[in-house]
Amino acid sequence: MTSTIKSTKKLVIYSFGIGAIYLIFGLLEFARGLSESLSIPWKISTVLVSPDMFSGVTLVIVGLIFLFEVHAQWKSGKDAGSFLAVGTLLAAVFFAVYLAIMGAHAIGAGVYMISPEAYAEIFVDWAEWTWTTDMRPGLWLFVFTLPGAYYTMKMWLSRKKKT
Amino acid sequence: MRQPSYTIALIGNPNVGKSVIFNNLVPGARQHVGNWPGKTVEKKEGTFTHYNTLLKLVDLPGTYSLTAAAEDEMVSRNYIIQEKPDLVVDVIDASNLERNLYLTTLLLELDINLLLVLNMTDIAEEKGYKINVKALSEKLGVPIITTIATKGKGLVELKEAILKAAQSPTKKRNLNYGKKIESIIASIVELLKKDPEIAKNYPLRWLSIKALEKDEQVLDIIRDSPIRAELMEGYFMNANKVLGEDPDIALADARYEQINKIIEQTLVRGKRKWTFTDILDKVFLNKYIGIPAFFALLWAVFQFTFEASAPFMSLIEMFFAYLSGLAAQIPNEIVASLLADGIFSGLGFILTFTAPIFFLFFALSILEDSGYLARVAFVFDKLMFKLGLHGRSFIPMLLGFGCNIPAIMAARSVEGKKDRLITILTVPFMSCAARLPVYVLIAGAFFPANAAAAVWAMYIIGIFVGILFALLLRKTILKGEPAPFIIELPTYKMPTIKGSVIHMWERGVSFLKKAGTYLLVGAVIIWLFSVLPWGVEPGSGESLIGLLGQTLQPLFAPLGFSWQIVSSLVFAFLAKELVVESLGVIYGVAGEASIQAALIASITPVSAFALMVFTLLYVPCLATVGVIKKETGSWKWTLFAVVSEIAIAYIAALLIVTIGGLLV
Amino acid sequence: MITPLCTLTYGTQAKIKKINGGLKLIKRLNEMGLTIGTTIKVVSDSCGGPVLIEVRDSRLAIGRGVSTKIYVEE
Repeated sequence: MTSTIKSTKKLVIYSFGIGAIYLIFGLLEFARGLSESLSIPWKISTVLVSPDMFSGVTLVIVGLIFLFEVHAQWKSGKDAGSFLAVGTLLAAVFFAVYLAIMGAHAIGAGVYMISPEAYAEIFVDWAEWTWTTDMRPGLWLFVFTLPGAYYTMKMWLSRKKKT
Repeated sequence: MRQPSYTIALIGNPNVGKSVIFNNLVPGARQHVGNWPGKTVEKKEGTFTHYNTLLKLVDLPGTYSLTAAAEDEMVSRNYIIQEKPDLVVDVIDASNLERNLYLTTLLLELDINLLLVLNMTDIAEEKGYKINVKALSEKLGVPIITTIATKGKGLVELKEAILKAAQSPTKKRNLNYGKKIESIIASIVELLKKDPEIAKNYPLRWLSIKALEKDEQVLDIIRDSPIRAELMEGYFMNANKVLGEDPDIALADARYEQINKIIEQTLVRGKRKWTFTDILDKVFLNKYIGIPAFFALLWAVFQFTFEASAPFMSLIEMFFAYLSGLAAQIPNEIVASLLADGIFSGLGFILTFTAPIFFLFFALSILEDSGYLARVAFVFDKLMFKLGLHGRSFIPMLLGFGCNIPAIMAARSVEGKKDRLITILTVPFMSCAARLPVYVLIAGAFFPANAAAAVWAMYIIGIFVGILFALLLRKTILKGEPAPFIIELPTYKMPTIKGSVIHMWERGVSFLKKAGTYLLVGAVIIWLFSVLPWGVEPGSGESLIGLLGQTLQPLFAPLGFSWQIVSSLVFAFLAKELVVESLGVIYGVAGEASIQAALIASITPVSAFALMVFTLLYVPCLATVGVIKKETGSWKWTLFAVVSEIAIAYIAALLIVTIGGLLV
Repeated sequence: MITPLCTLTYGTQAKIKKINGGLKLIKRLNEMGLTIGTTIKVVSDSCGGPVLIEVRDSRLAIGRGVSTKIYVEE
């Protein structure tokens, strides 16, 4: 039942790199969320680091899953790819959720613009919405997981052919 | 001429697709389906006609055997044995043939009219299985149909086969449990024949086997028979000696041996492949990452529920603001007030929460259909076991996030009376969708930056209070060891958008129905309370609702709740949505923003958080109380549940106000 | 060597030798495919928690309480 995916150096280095990026940005988000809730603002763009403690924690968890891949390879060298694949899956889940939120807020902003004055107040939350409002690490970091997704997918398909 | 009719029972292991088949065969049937064992806890009947023949189909809860361990399994056993349907359809997971056939052998022993359905043949194929269906059918002496129920494949053939099998029963059996056991069975059969009463009424081979297994109900049948003493002493002692072990175990071994013999000749297993389920389980069940991954996923669910639904809430709000504006122009003052202040402000306001509730149901459906739900029981079993609790309880608890009522009923699949009772009493602390509007309203007003996190925190607090309460029960009035935890984990399946939307719709509709009935009546009653005696300022301190709130308010003064909130909490005994509904009526304003402004003016953020926790923990709704009564069968436990929930809610809220007061 | 099921680690294959428990537990385990002599494979161990095993083509999660009562031989 062992995987036919062979552990390669590249895979380990890649997992480590992406794990570290997720971990660092998760910690930054958390730190910024904490400091801004104590009214200490940061000067960095919210696109790069959004002030959100909980979203930070979830990024850390995703990062840790990637780093577990490194740990698993170090220890046994077999069944490569599981943690990488699931880390990518979770990253994709968060990507999808944030994308859905961005889309929904865009609708809100759209309705604010076209609705008659009497009702505009209901949509006032999105009066100043632009696409950067909801842009956050959880979204753009996902791009970095794509090579891993491609890699594991390729391995997965080759497994099917071999057996 | 009377239409010919037959009764057909669907039986099988848990999570093999019985309910999917049921839904496909019975027009209009909506049995709940999902990817975890134990969904169906009650038998469900439906009818369909085929070639002018009326077929009554009964969907039974999944079971591993005909000796019942849990409440739901008892239903299946009793139906097959006592109701004697014309045909029993045994649904089998083709990718798990060996274990599934165990139940089949038990059914074959019963000498009933049997039809096998090999379902999920696609998954079997994926696993590399090649099943020789014709040979299998011959070896077992039973007709077999193959299906992929989720894709609707093979169902036409199944209908055909059901009708044929019902009209012309086959009872040819080819089971052989080996010389030793067969000779013992034969000798008991001979003995049983001496009692004409028994010989006339029961299949003797089955009765002999069950008597050997010391099945309680079968021993009851024999109790008054003159041959009892001879059987108990002579024959059973002899059986133990000849077999060298308990007949139970010898019989189970013999059944599997028989199954193995058949499988060797009919099934070719391909090389075991590394499957998607292996990959996911390696991470989601990992001892370090499993629990954090669960909380992260749950957080994603609430982020989605709260943030993505907000604009849709506003759209619904706009619609009711428009209607309310129209109603205010009606010349008749009473009608105008009822419509504008009662129905559109109250009911309309709660209906804006249709959006987050549907979003939540959609997200929960994805978790349920993927097969992840059953994993949560595994992940938390370690913690639960240390606390002396049952990991299985976690499934009903998570279902409680949708609605507490089916969750409490799902506790039937929890083995052990005490474990089940603890589960039933714990579920009400799980935050159901009806409480969501309260959180969304209050969190949005007081903690706008972290609203989703505040909502998420409610669910986590609910889980922890539930666990603590369960622990308290286990250490005091419901002492004992947890029943053994064994659960089958289903194969992960890719949830489809269509499937999840259907799921969301089915659950969401029940909310809309509630809105059209209970909540509508609630809105009218609350409106009456707010305008009577006629002439007072609606929703003011002089109205009935004001008097009610002000009378009870001193009780809640330590928590910092205003009388408006207290009276809304009173109405919410009927249903939690009424908190929001009555706030809408009392403040006499439609729209989230204006009610939020009124709330901010009347209580502190700490009290607001305490209010969220109080709403989370006290009696969910009248319907839940009713279900607790029905499931525990005891007023004592029902009363205990109600009182303890109120007490815990009050204590928790008081703790928050006290600690919060020190911090802020 | 005969050891309790709970001591096995990820990936081990073993044969069930003995079940230390009441008839009710043994019967339950039998129904779910665990009989003496059955080969099982540990798919996930969780150190003090439940074990996930593969037996007769199905995946069973076995709680700590039960896994200490099932004795196996590697």
